[in-house]
Amino acid sequence: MSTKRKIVVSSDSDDDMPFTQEKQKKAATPAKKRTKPVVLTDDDEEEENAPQKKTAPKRSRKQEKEESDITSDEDELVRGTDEKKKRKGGKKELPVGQKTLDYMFKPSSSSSKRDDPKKKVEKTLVNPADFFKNSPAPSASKLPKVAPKTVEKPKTPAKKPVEISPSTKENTKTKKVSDDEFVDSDDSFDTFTPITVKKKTPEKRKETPKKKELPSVKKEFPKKQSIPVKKEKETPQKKALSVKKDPPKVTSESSSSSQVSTSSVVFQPKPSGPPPALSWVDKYKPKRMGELVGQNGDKSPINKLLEWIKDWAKHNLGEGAKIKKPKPAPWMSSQDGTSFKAALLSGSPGVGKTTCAYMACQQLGLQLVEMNASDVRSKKHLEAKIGELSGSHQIEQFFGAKKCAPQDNQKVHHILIMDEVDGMSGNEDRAGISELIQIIKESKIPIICICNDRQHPKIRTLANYCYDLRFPKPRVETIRSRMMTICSQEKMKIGKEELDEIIELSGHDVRQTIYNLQMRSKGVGAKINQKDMAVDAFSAARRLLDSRTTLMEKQEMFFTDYGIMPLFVQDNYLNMKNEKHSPIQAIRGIRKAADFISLGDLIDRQIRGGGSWKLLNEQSMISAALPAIATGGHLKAMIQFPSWLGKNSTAGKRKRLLQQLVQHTHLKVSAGTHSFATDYAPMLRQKITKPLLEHEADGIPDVISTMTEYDLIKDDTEALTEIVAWPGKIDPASKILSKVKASLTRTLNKTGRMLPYSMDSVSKGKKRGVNSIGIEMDEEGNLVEKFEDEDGESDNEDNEEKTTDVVIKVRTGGGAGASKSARGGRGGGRARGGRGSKK
Amino acid sequence: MALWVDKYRPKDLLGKDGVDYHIEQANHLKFLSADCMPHLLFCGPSGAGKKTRIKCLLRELYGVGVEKTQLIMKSFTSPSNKKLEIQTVSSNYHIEMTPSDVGIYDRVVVQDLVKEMAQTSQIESTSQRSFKVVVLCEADSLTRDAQHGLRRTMEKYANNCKIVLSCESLSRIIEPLQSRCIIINVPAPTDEDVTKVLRKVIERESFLLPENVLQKIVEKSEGNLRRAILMTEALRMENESGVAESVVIPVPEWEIYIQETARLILQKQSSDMLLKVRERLYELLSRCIPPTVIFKKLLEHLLPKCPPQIAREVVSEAAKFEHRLVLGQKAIFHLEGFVAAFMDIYLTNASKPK
Repeated sequence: MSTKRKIVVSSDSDDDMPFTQEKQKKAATPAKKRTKPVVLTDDDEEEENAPQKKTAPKRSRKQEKEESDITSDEDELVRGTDEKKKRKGGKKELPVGQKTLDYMFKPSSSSSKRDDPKKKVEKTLVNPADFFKNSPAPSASKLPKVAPKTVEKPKTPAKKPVEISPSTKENTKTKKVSDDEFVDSDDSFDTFTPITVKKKTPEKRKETPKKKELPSVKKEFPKKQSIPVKKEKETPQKKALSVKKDPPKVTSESSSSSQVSTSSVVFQPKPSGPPPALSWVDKYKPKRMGELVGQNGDKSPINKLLEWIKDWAKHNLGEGAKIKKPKPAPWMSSQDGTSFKAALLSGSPGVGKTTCAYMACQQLGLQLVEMNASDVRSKKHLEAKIGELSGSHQIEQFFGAKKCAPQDNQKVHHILIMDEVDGMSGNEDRAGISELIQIIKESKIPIICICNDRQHPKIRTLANYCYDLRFPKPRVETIRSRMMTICSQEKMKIGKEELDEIIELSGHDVRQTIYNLQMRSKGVGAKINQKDMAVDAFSAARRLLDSRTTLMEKQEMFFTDYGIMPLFVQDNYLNMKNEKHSPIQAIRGIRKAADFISLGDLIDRQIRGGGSWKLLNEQSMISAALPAIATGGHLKAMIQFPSWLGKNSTAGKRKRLLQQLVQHTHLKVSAGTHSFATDYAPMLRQKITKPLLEHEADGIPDVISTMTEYDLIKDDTEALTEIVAWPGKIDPASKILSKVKASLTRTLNKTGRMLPYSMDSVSKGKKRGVNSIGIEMDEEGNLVEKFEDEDGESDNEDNEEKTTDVVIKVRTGGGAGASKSARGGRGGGRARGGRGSKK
Repeated sequence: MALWVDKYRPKDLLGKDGVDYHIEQANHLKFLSADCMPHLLFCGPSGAGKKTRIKCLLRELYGVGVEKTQLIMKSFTSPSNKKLEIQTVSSNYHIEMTPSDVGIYDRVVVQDLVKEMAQTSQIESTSQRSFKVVVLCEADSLTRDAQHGLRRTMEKYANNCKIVLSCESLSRIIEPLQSRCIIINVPAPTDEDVTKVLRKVIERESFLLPENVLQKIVEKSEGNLRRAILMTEALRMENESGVAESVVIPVPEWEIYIQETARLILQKQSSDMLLKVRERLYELLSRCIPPTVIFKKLLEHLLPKCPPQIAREVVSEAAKFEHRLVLGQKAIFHLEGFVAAFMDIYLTNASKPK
């Protein structure tokens, strides 16, 4: 009897749970099945939301939930009493065994009747595992019932009515006792259904609260989306909790202690099962300041961030806000953050920027709101969601909701974290950065922006309004110590050199290093993929010419920039030397390399001229990889920028000058570009410079005569000097006296005007008109004499002059302006070309 | 005052002012200057007188008026909307230009210009020639596309427009163009021809030149009459009073530079020396000395100094790299390859035990 009484006491404690479940079923009218998992989900949500009690709207929501629970409980209590009365009446009417079954069918609908037998079958199948997993407390009471049934089943079926008789005896004794027993039997049936129903519809029930809350707040979406992941992670915690709950029962009941121990034995192997993938990165996420990688020292980014947040209220709230603070110089924006309302954490991926932001808020006990790349962050959304949050209006709402005494408004209680701000682009986040800047200007709370690419144009705009905190890549030693801690906890053995190699291959990315370690722990032979990093042309050229790289690596480096790599190789292969080589070996290697480079130029011509781009692989071998190998040496000097580019530019300029010279002299010279460069140019330059050197001012007429004959202008003479001058040779033109040069220039300017006069010398009639000017007459007189001398020397010039006479006669008859027409007629194109070039 | 090379240039195919050599060929050209003149392709080395003969031919066709020429800058637009400018020498009867001045866009220039010239015909065909002449200089620098573009154009406008091509190497003209032209081969003048011309020039200039000096000039000019006359005039400028028999013939600066480069190559064969040689080669290329000329001069100065047993191999390497030079587009790669190959051959031979 004492044992029976104990069982009764435990059943009383169990009664509370099923009662609440029954009430909830009735409360939720749409479907009885779905109400049961709601209970569990509510409990889970409460547990999960507890650590996240950082925002006011969440607190208000929790209160609402509590109120709804209370109301539902009251309704269920009322209905519960009704159910009990119905059950008593039913028992009296029908036989003992059949009565219980009939009562179950009547309250449910016709559809539920059909489903009942199926449920029974399912319940029996699922019973033991479900009991152990979901509800350890009721499993204790159920175990004794289940055990005798299994024992008795192999015996004859006649014994079953015997079991029913003791229950009837108890009924006759006291009504209260009989009520408890009936409740127990009902509980057994009720407890089965919620287990099966929960499994079927857990996802559906989870979705409904999300849908309801969608219109109210969008901020919480990412957190709720992450809830399923968290639940999966927390299942081992639940197992631990269930194990912990068992000990008090063991102390209370010696008979049930053995049963509880068996259940605990069943639990143990499951936690030791394989953990879910990617667990190390989250498992070893830093939980204390000391666990952050590369954040030691007073000037580390996180310490700067902490100081900035501590002093934020002093500078931006109350009296501090009224004082205008000058913006620091750009190079000081990372040292002094007093004038900034926002901070910008920038750095490469995997260095712990977001973790530092969370750690700082946790350290200072602040509540944070996060918006990251999964949120819509366009101008409108930012205005609607963050505008209120960053203003003091939100604080008042928060106070009003709690109905507490208003707190000190001179302190900071919230922080807004904008994660991945360099992703605020595209249609969804249009104008988000500019709106974010506006919010920062008017903000009443600190704002932390986190990005990877600080040089992005949009981020540079934002950086002007932010306290610039740059996160450098941690050093190998710093990462190594943290990785060693993780390896020791995971009981994974790895050498120091191997670990350093993994860190280097991961590009000093802490996240990727942990991934690689976890991958390696599953298989020692697994290869670690090197992190893809952008390589510039100089680094690629250095790796290409490094004797330690493989042929495949050299080819990869070639494709960094397949246009300029052959030039890098051509410029630097002569600096690849090997002390062990004899002079013959060295020159032989150089010959092979030069041969490959020369052959590569033909392939390059085919690729660009003929469009045979499929030859790029061949070019990578012949232009880059094979010459680097052929020399057999090491590149010890600095990488030289390809000088071919500069030399080609110089050659192009000189070629244009040469073409201009050929064009100006084309009426007289019948040479092409190359013949002019090799034969004519030296002679012409000597013809121009030698009279000035030997006769100084007296040589000017000869020079002018040559320039006039070949229609050269002063710029052409300078071009001649540039083309003909050679390094190591003294330029003869540099010896010409400056006054002689000035005199030549003056005479050249005069000569422009004297051209028609030389023609007038041929036409005697026009000499008289010019006689009035004495000075020009004198010069003209000299020129006239020279022309006469020339006439006497050669017959060809006589022919030329005759032709000009004919032209002059024809054109003078044409109209007014005889002198102008004479200019046009003299020498035909030569005169025109000369005058045009001079102008 | 004009240089002697331009002052004493022939103006007629025959007669007193006619060309001084290849007289029989001049007769053929005179015969060709009838109404049935075909397209012509002049080929020959530099300094042989190709352009002089083209000018004499034009004078034969159109008379003295063809000499009234002017420089005109013509603009063209390529299919990629790039504006091209090229200078042409034009008269009423002909137009002359060098299409390679515009680089790889020469096809546009050639086609547009020929069509522009050819789409109009002469009005008075009785008193004038029924065609105009387009002279394309440096035709061997035309790209393949430009040469292919000329094929149909030459046939289609043959009645209105005659095309005269001038090139140094016939192998770079595609076969279809060669078959549409009459090839006028203008070989280099012989030493006797050069001597005769030089004597005539110095006689008119009253320049007393010893006979042995004259022969030295003829040898150094290597059949290039332009160079021969220019060297003679340079000698006159340096020795105004008189020329002694022991005088040194002046050599162009670029040839001296190449000579010094060859001396450096023979001095030491190592990567450091090759770096110095590379700098000198860059200087030559940037002053518009043709790479083929550099190859030839370098080989000329290297061969006399190296042992006879490796001469064949050296010449073979020079030919190989010069061939690649024509096929490629970066001259320094191939010049450097040749120098490296020569250094290896020379050093290997020098290290062999005798």
